[in-house]
Amino acid sequence: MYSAQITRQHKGAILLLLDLSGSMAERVVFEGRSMTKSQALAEAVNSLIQECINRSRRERSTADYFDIGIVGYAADEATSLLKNSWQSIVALDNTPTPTQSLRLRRTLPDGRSVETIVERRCWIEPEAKGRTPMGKAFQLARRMCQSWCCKHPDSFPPIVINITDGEATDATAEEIGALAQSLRSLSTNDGNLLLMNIHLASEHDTPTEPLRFPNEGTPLPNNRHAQLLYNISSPLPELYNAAIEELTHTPPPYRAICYNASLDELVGLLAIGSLSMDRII
Amino acid sequence: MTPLLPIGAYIECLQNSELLAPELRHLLPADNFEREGFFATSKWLNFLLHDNEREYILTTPQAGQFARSERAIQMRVVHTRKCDYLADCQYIPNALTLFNSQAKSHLQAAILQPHHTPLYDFVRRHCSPTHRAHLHSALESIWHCAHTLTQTGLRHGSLTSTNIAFTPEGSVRILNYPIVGPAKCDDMEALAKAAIAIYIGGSELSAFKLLAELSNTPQHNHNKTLRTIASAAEHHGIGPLAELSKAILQKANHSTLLMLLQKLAREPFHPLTLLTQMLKTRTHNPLRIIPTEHPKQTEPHIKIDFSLCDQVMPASDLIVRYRRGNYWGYAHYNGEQIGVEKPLLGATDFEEGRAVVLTERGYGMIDSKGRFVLGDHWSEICWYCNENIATAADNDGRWHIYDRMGHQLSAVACDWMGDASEGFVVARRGNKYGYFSTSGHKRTDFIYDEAYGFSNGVARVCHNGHYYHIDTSLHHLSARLEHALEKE
Repeated sequence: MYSAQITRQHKGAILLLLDLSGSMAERVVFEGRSMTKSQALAEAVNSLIQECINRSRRERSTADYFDIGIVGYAADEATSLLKNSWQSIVALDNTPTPTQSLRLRRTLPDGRSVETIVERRCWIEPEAKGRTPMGKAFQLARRMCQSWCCKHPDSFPPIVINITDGEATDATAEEIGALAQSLRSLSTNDGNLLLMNIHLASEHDTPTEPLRFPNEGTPLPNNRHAQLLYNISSPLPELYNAAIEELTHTPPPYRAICYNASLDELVGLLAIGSLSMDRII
Repeated sequence: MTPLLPIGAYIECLQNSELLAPELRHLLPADNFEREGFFATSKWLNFLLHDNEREYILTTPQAGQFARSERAIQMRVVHTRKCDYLADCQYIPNALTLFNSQAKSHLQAAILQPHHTPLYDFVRRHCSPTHRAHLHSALESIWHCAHTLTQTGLRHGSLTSTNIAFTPEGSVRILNYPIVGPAKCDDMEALAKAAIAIYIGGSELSAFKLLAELSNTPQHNHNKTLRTIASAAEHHGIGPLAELSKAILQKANHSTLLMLLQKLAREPFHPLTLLTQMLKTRTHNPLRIIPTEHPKQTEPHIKIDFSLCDQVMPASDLIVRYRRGNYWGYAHYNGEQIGVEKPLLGATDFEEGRAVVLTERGYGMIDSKGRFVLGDHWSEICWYCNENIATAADNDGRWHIYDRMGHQLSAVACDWMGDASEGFVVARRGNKYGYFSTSGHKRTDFIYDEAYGFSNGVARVCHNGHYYHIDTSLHHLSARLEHALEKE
């Protein structure tokens, strides 16, 4: 299980569910810079797509290793933010996009910290309006992933990453649990769909320790969101254990949830979430 | 002299109030540490004690007396309740952790069972014209209760409608009984007044509501109300109601009251339209509900029993808005209360984590944790969930645009702001209108004689007496488009 190689014949799929509700206009500290959660989320998503493109880059062109889906949910609906529901990494690479100058802090081998300015392409623009129809997003994700799994029965199962700062406004916890269960039940011959949840912390939230990939013994924050997100997240396959153990210094098995983590950790999580990309070659 | 027994609770506790758990400091006021072995509250206060599973509600204001040590507790006599009409009182050893120390505390409290309903809510629940049998049962039970108390000699001393509850079948349960101390009122008279209230509730709910509101006004003249009831009852030919009201006024003896209570319990309900009219003239605010209690501003693990609320609105953003008396509160849909630091006289549904509320001071806006993001000092606030902004006016009538965190976005104050839509807010200064963007920037000068909100990308304006439409670039629409719009 979860051992399929990601190749041109057996593509991988990453579906991002993005909370674009009004509360994402609140501020968060991201890589030492204060910005809105929606800006930080867009930055993280754009960097993930760029990372996927870089990983798929071959000598003369970009290889078609991934299908990417991006669903934004806000106001009363969940919609695909890309032209098609699933877009190949090649198509995304060929899409003309605006660029943005980003200041990144890097640590040199001698320990010094330097700030560099890099140009990054923007597939997603920050947005924050309306309510949080997470239930609808899960329903749309299920439809998208179901059709993808039918077309790619022997591929590594889709990875769905839900990035949110709060609870759904269109479904109760029980309903979200049922929808998530329905989503996780989708599978390819290589295993069940992996559902990851990332809860973005607010600058003004009560400070709590960030929680990354908890195991069964990890005490969860006393917050109903944390419990709900833990319950609906997939247990992570062994494939991820080594990288996560290095990150968290706790023993496996892990759950695919990151609570109250800063967005630095989100980027770290996404890199881990894309470990399957290492299997391309 | 018989020592004053703790009315609500015995609690073993530490003598230093600083060691009280923070969430209990406002629930367990302790301001007298002088007596050895005890401390007491000098004020009469409402207590609400809770553990993780249950609430122990002491529904009447009372002075509490708490033991400091186990020995002091053992000195106390635990009252057993042998009368059917007295609410259960339980001694619960090691039941609660009330303090920072790990030690458990003991509690003796009158327990409001989940199925017990306060008088006001009981009447509200059973006042349907087709389903008033429970109200007759309640009247019957009040008579039996009064009879029993007279026979046994038990005395409450501060009985009012607030510490009378009912079982689902309509049997009376008296809370916080007994008190050994000076009597503040006559128990029989209180029961008779409760019976009158129930009868009026069963006959004419609007009259009952008005009566309840009137009774809770500070300057309420109870005798005048009783005279009003008596005269209305005479007009409608309801003898027992008129006689009982007059008997209370005339301080009739207990046997007379008992006899009249029995007669009233057997009297069919009659419409009391005249009483409603008469009470309306005294309230000036018909059908406003009394403040029986306001939602306790306590820690979020307190659960709200929605069945005991006077009004419960459908959940919005999974948060339920409910009313008890005149006060509003919020709770998660599973009942978990959202504490707000001030009593809420008005409240709106949550929309994407924000709700506009009204306190005694003014309007404010709270987040989903109950914290004020815009303080409660505004004369008006409008929250636009889809635009993620609020517009608010201060007491001088100056309007500004604010973001969801309460930061002011607009630099220019206006005399009025209209609805926010499609990224714009229409505003007025003096007698001219203009537009702001929802980011707070002024998009046009105040040049229009009239201006309306954007809809489907266009807005109607009037400039120098000419009406036309502008688009979101604020350009005048072409004649062709204008014509098409007019046709539409």
